[in-house]
Amino acid sequence: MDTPYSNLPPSRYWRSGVAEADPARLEDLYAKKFEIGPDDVIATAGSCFAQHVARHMRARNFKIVDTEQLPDWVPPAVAKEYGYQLYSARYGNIYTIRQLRQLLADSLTGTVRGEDVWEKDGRYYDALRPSVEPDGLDSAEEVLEHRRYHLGRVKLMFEKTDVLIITLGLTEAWQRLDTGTVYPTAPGVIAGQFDDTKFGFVNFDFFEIYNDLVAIRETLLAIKPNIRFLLTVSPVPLTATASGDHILIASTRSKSILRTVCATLKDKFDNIDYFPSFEIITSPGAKSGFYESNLRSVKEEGVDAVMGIFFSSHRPSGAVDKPQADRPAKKRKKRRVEVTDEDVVCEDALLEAFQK
Amino acid sequence: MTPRICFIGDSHIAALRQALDDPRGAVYKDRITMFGSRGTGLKSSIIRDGELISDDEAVRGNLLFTGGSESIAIDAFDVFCIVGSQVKLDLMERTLEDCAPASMPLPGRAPISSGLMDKLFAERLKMTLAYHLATLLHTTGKPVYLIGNPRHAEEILNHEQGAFYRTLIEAGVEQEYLRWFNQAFTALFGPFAQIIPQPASLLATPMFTRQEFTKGSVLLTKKLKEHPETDFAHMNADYGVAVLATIMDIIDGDWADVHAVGNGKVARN
Repeated sequence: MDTPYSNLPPSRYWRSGVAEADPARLEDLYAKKFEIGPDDVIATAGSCFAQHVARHMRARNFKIVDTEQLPDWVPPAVAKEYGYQLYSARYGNIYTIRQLRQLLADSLTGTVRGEDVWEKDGRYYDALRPSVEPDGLDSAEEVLEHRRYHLGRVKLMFEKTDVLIITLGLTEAWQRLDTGTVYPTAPGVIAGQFDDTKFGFVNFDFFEIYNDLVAIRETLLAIKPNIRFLLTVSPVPLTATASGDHILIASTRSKSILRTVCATLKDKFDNIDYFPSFEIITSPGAKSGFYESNLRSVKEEGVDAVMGIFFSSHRPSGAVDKPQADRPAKKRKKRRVEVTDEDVVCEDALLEAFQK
Repeated sequence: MTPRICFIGDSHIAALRQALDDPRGAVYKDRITMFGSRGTGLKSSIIRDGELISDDEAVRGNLLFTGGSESIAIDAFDVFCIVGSQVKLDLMERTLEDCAPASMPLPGRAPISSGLMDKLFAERLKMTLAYHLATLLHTTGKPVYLIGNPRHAEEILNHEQGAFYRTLIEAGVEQEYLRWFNQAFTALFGPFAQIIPQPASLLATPMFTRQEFTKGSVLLTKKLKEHPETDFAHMNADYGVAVLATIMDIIDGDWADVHAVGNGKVARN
């Protein structure tokens, strides 16, 4: 007599679906919930793994919006060093969903806060995106002026976006105790000074992240009624934790909460889909082979596996089967660039430098 | 002993070539050889087996026409002098249409940091033919001098091509731009070549060449045909004579200094 587990396709069984499957070509892993059409304007945001997503989609002629660009002659390495060509605006890595919610709110209201300027050695940094200016700016006023301009471009980006791809990275963050403002790095890592009367550690839970994403969805729906969201979870483990737990416990907590939020939102809303980057890279079938020797950074073949599965489902007309080049926007000239993990800008890797 | 000098560059070498044919410049003729190729053709050049060569047939033809041989034998010269080769004051025109630092406030531009502006200046200068030639010739161990493009003639301000300069002047940032340009130029090229500034006597202002020097400039072609009147970039024989005299004074002065002390090495490069 048949059971509910009889006669299922191979992908429904661990042995055939994972243990004996090619980890780079997992069959039937992802069933898209909606199309990404050739005219859909796509924006990307998230933790550093999201840079790979944006890069590969640009190379395949997907319409990735970029509202903060340098002149097209500027070499990509220089542009990336200053936070350009990484995402759809120059916001750098957005590790937590609270950070994204905050950016959205600030962009819509044009809010800049003087306390979000951090100083180091006489140079001034935007604490909300400290890595985009490696040498900082000349004054706090200049930081605020740059931020005002940036928020205007972010607002424009959201207004244009049809599909927002968010790569969820972390649950841990540092925030100002008085305002609740969340930062991508701890004070003192790139700039600023740590002061435990001003800053505190926060480890967002399921409900907070869920509510933040729901709020982001509602806000953007008011701007773009047809907007769709594609969520992924970064397979890159935490570099360090301030939670007090072992790093393995902390990383597992973080990723599992983020993954659960994605599953819950995907089930609840028609315009939210989930793409399994996390599962592809961390699958036991891959035997950690998609990770570099530090068991943290993702090898280019791992990224290729992720994007290969993505592109097998999302192929709008105009998209190409093979990458054209590493190029930031449609009007830019084609450039062939060797990409390694070193090319991904990742502030949390800086934490390793602080390990004693 | 006086040094044998190789001038190399783009179309701007034509003014110096005219100077050599002028009685005022003829005194240098015996120890100067000029090699030129229009545009950026010399970017294809490399040094192999003691010769500066190009795999571009047109460039080889230009070298033959201007200097008498399809390649340049490095040991035939004691000193190299790069002329023009895209080091032009308006090289950041396109960049400043999009973005500008706080010290050069231009309306409607995206703000960028001074650090990024430094980087962009340096990267833009690295794309020039002059940078290619300077880094290439530096490897020979021989003294290398560089005089960039002449400043545009001031008359450009009254024509469409002068929009960039008008923008700077109207915003009151032309001095700041000039400061930035000179700083970036010196910082990038200093390790590879001795920079010879355009003689002050030829300038109408720090940004512009006196108008009379652009009348009668010639194209770097076999017939030395005149440039059109709206060419404010290329200069004439009078300019060439003055620049040539300046360059030769500096080179000969350096040469004499070094050889007087007998250390066999040019100190300033």
